[in-house]
Amino acid sequence: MSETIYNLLAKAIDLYVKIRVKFDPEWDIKNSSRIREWKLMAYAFSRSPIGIVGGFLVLITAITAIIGPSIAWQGYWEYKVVENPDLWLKPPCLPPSCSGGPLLGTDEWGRDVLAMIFYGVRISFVISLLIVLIGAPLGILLGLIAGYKGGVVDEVIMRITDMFVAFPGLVLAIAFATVLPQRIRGFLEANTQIRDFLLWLFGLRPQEYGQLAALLSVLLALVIVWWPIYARTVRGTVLSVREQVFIEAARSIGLSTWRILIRHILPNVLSPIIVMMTFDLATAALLSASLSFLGLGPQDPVPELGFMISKAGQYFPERSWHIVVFDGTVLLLIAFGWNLLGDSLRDVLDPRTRRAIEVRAKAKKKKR
Amino acid sequence: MGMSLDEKTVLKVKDLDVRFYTYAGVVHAVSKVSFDVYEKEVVSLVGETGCGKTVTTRAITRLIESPGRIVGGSALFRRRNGEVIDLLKIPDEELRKIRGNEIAYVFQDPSSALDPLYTIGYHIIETIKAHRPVDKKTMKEEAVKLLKQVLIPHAELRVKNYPHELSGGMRQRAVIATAIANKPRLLIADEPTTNLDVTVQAQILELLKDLQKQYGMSIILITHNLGVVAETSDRVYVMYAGKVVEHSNVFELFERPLHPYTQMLLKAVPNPLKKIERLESIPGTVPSLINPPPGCRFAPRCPLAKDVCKEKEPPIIEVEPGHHVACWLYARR
Repeated sequence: MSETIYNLLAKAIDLYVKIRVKFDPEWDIKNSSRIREWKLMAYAFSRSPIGIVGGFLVLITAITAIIGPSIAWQGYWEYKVVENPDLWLKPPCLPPSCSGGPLLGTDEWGRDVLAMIFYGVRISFVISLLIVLIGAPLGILLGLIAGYKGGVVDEVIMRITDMFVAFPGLVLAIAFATVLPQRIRGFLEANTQIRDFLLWLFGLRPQEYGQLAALLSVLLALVIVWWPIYARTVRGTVLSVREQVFIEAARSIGLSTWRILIRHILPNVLSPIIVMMTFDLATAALLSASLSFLGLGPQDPVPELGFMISKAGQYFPERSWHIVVFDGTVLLLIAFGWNLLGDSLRDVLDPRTRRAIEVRAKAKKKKR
Repeated sequence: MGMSLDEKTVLKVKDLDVRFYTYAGVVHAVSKVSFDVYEKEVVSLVGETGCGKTVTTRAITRLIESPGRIVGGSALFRRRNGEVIDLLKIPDEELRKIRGNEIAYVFQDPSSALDPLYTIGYHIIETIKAHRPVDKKTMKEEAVKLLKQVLIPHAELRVKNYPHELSGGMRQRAVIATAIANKPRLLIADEPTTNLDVTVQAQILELLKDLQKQYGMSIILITHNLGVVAETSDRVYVMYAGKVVEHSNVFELFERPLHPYTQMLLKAVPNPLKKIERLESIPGTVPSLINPPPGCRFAPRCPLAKDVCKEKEPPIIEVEPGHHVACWLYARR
């Protein structure tokens, strides 16, 4: 199993190298040590069962998120229960004891729960990705500047960071949910191109831009409470990296502050940040779902996972246990996948543990 | 403005004052240090650890980090185009154009002066790119040429190596190649051989001397090794506790040291021809620079100290043409 995965990853690396060589014939020679290191990373990753399971779960989540809305056999806007009252909260129909009915049952609008999950995964995946991809760079940038500049700049940035850390995310989200949607709605009406792009991103119909506004206010609230942790972590690492002689050397050859930050400090603080981002993707997915659960996110008919669980609460447990269980499991698996992946990435990206894995594998081979 | 320099002077530092504002108090790391560097010469700054050699040279291009601060003085520098500027007063942006271009540094520890994430070729190219608009191909060729110039074998291959793939001596050569990439007028070498073994030390010093002749640049050499001074320098500044105590040309200094500190320092160098029981040393310790002694800073350890030494700072006296010393022993009263 791990052998095949290693071969697969190694092939992917070789393919990438081949593409680079097409543009620059000597690329592979110049970067031979880098390529070797990548292969070692692939090897270390393939040796970690946790990483494989995590990677697998994340892969499934990603694929579901990408193709989900297009393969869902029912639109989330079709209220089947209007024509056929029998479809109201139908229990799941799992083989072998049952066949023919909707696999995971239906919700109170008569919609197939499995089809709704496909939409929900897309929303959850996209929103968690956006939160981390907007929040993390913002925090990284501020942390870099604060750590490198020091003095007053550091003091100002870090005290603002403290203020945001002290601010309860939930309260902020509630405030945003009441104030922001109308304004975002106005913005979306004015900028149809952005609106259409975002709707496509979340896999929603154009009619749902009002719900999109609610979704974006959740996103904004979470981004605002997200960046401070990154700013703090990055600042801490920068403080130690900037004392290295090669940073002083970089200044002594007359590089600009900006170039030193991006070229010499950022790459040296990046690997713990990547691991942190992976873990945070899980937290972001869960948090955005819990905000929707509290009714701060999009409303009907948008099948957001947290919101669906919240609605099912009305009929819980007699008529709607299946919605809670299945939607909850999906959320759990998304978070679980990212967490496992992050855990193994931490080992793989750290050169020391990576070497340890290599050495252990060699010792095992010898024993045999 | 007094912004004039003699024809042959590259750098004229006058009354440089650097202080560190620490929790324990204000450290007077460098007090009223003046020195000149002429064209095409090697000037040595000699002194024991913590005497302010490194801080002095860092202050020239304002590479002093908080809590350190340059409190006073001037550093006049003649640029390539003949313009004379005060390095301590020009705006940061201007100074950045001089760092690595007209004034370059070689640091003590070559293994940490290179960013572990980039090849040595990248380091050189980055230095060139920061100051000259040259296309990529020329930069690469120049990088290889520079590595050849610092006598790195197989330069074409080495250019693609990462710092960890090179030995200490090789790394220092790579650092030197980076420093001379833009043909600087002034190279500041901060104990360039301290972390290398003796045979490599000799090679690196030889290389620096060759490059100095080839490029016609001036070198400030910081060291605590008197052997290195005798071998390479034209003129020497002896520093003690943040002050210059004596300066002259290298022959004078070794023949006829004037300051008691210099005399004792030279005595402390073991002579390989004599069998000795104990190594000579200077009794006492370096004074704290937070509250430096009011008079001569060497007075507490000086066997020849008189009352005046402990009360008043000694004037700088030119005992012979070009040979200056800051000591009351030579003051005419």
